[in-house]
Amino acid sequence: MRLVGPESYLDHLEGLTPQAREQLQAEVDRMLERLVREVQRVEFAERHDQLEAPEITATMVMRAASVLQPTALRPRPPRMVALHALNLACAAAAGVLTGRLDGLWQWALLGVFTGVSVAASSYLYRRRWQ
Amino acid sequence: MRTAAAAEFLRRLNDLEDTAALLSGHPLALRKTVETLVEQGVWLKEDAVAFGRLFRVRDAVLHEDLPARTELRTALREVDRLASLIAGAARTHPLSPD
Repeated sequence: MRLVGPESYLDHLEGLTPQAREQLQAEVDRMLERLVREVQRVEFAERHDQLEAPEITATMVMRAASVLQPTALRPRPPRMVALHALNLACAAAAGVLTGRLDGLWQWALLGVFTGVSVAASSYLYRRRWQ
Repeated sequence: MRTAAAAEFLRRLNDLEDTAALLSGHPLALRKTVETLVEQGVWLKEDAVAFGRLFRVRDAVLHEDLPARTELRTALREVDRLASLIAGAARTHPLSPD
């Protein structure tokens, strides 16, 4: 499949051996194939109730491209942003409480805030490697 | 975090997609694959729609908007059901991508 020829880009690459040129073309073809397959999946997911009328929109192409991006480059889902905020708030609250530990309530709250913060941090840390 | 059930769902859906593509003879065209399977009577239209719904679940999993456990279990059962229909058709009409 050769929808987009990379020749114009290759012109800017100096010292490209014929084998490297071939390899580059193969990599482009492979990436293009993955993207085309993913676009079809996204389209079918969204319009599976209209079997006879496929329609691929620009948004679908962007969504498909985002699936192929490494996880670290994808926008964070809102739930994860909220978890980051909760982690920060609990850590800050625990920090403030450490200066006012003059009762059982304060110790209990410190335990809760610390526990939530540690749990949220370890969850967020583990997610980085998923 | 992607759960083991979600990972298993992705793996089985991937296998189902590959087998369906092989049986239909259209490895690169998902719509064509579905169309062919419906035409050949391997799947009903409802099965094709169910197949599409599975990709919606996949999309949610990949975008880290994890579906509920029950929804994932239902999706896994659906994958197995559609795969068994294909396996049944492959037994009666051996796979011939050529």
